[in-house]
Amino acid sequence: MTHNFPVPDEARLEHLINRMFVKLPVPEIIRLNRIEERLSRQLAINRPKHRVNKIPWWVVLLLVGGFATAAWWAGERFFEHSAVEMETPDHGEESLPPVTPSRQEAEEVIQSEGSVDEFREKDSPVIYQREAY
Amino acid sequence: MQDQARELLDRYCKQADNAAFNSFYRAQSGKLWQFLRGRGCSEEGAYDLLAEAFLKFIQVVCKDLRAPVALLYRIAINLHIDQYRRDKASPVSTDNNSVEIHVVESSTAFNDERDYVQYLMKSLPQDEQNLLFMRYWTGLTHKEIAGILDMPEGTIRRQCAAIIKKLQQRWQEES
Repeated sequence: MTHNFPVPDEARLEHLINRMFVKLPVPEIIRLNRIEERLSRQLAINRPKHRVNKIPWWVVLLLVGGFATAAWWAGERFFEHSAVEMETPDHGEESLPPVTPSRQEAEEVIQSEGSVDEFREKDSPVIYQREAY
Repeated sequence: MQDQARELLDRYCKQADNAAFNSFYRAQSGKLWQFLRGRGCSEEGAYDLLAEAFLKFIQVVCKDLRAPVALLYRIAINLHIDQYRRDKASPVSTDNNSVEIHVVESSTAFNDERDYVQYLMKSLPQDEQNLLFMRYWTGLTHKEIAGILDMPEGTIRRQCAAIIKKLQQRWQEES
């Protein structure tokens, strides 16, 4: 098999290969259109969902949720505090009984019961007893 | 070309623009049909595989828009392999249609260089013909072809260069 064409360089050969493929048989347009119609029906069913980046919305949702919780907690604390203040009756100081006995009364009790450091009964099983004033 | 395909499919996926998908289909369907014929499909079989490949393609394309044409060809090749295995397992009909790339018969005289290139291509194995088809007709990059054929990019690059060199050598020997 001989010919007299000059040997092409790489670029020329690539171009010739490309041109050779142009001569390949082509498909029937009617058949391709029929497939396209089929695909169009499928496209109507398989409509791609509009992809939205949802991450910022989740961040916003978390922030709003956090603020709402904080506001609710703070509000509850505030109202609880004011309710306690309102409910506390305003007693005069005179009406309250003296809680701590006066020094004189305490000394009287100590003298009547004897020395605090003394054990009343040495053989008693009680090794510790709360002081009673 | 790949950028244009990506742009069209981007519009389809993000704006649900069916017209953009149809443009992509019109640009790729003819070449894909030729590719399938080149791989040995019958004329009818190539139409069936084409339709099936596009149907599968529309289900997955929006997940990854980096190399849509390569994805389409990969789907088509996988479907063709599946079909080949099915046919081999249960042969129903025989299809003796020859691959259309082999149209030019060996002749003593060539009208022009294109005829001679076609004759040279005939001598190449099928996988090398497919490689040249994807590279020089479909316009896929080495990387995209590597993705389709599951091979390293460097291997594809070397194979393309080797095929071109082989053709040049034969050209020189026969001149």
